[in-house]
Amino acid sequence: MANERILSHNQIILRRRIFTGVKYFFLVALGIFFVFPFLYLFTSSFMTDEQILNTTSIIPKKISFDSYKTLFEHTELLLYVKNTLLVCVLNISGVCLMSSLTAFGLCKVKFKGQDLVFTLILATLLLPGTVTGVPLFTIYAKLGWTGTLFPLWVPIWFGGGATNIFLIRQFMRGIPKSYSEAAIIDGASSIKIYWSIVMPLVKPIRPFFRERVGLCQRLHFGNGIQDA
Amino acid sequence: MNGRLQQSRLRKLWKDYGNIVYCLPVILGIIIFTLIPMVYSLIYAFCDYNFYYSENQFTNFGLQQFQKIFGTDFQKTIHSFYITFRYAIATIAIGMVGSYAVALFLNQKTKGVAGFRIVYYLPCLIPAVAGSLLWKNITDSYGLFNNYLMALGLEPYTFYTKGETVFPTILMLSIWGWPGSMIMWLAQMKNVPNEMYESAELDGAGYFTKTFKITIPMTTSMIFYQLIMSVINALQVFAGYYPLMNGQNESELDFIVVRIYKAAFVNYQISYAAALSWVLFVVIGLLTVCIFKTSKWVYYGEES
Repeated sequence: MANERILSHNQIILRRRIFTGVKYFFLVALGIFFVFPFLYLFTSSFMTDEQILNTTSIIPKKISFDSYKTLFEHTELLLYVKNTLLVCVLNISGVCLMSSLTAFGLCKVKFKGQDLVFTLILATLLLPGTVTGVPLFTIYAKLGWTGTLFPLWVPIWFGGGATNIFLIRQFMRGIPKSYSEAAIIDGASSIKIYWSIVMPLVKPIRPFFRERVGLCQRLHFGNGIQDA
Repeated sequence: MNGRLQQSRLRKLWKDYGNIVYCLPVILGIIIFTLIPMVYSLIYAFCDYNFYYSENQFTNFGLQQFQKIFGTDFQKTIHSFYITFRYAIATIAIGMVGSYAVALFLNQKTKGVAGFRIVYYLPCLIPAVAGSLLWKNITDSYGLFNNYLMALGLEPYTFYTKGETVFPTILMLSIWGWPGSMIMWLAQMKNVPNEMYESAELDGAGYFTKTFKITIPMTTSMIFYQLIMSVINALQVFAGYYPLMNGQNESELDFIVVRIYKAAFVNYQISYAAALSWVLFVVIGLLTVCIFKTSKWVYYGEES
């Protein structure tokens, strides 16, 4: 009893109100901090250069479409969008297919050396990108892939990235073994188990990958290649 | 008799190793896109690789690149490591505590949690380069922030333009990196069983006791994972800060990978870049091993 502090009813209510107030203030302030650059980006695209340099308000006084005109006339916007969409589609389909196949092979079926393969895949996570980046660049140069889109999606189709494999594998470990065992009793081959049982159960995590992979544009490496 | 023996041996081989077919793309990919470049990179680091010649590219085998890193360019190397480690320690400390606190707030029955979560996930949607250019625009000499300051009568603040103010600016804007880890904290916090909180409340635990004695210990597996990934990523930071370099703040933005990139793709000193990359790899590897070895405090729950 000596350690308890007995507060009156009003004090408890006051404490709770203050705490809630502080919490909401903090959360809203953080939210404004996160949203504000997007807002500024959007509204400043409608301002002329002078307005951007001079005004202190986010809302433009006069809406002008100058920057959009320049964008459509002086840059090859259509080409950039087409490239981005192409790389996106290739990457997303590649990751979904390849990582799930590999993760299936690592956790739902057995073969000798499974742990070794998994350790190898995880070890590639430790590698700084620069250790392989420089020779990869020379390999691409010798292959003639500089200035093309190939380096942006071909490595993905060879396995889909260690982090993705790791995540899907963890997810697959949550699927009970009894499903695949029942399918084996009914005579399913392992690829049928993959396609008809495990893949539909992995669906919840797929949007996560689609969004994640679609936004990893590998800009700096792509720049290095395009510059060459 | 012999044929049947061979057939069953093949069958056994297929049974033991056959399922490796599922992992063949990855293994092939690792060999082509990771192992072979690694071997090449190791060779580059121990010689003078000349990018321009079409023959006789490898000359002068020896340790001269490493002698350059630790000998003639030692000051610059130490400076790069200092900048990178300072950035890493500050960002990881602030980031882990900050994102964990925000996740704690969002974990409660706050009104409008879904809305907050959407808003907080927005910074994750921008790639690093675009985000940093966006902030550079806002904090520029005639950008929005400085316009506000001048309207209030204060001096314009040189956010990224001058060397001395780059580090505080980076710290201020590291908040932008919180949502990524915050999502993972939230997922892990949902795994803490509610009965623990209820029994703690029965014993008279307040909010802070519940947080420090239940939530934090039960999420140590995610803390460990975040720590390792943060260390590995923070020491390799590059894409967000390379576009910000102008003439004056170069010495403050001189991260290790920036230095490697400049050596490789601006000065075409491929061997020097390769040697520096391997030094970075050894440093990251040692740090990771240290963290693993001192990880007795991690609680794994039902996972194996």
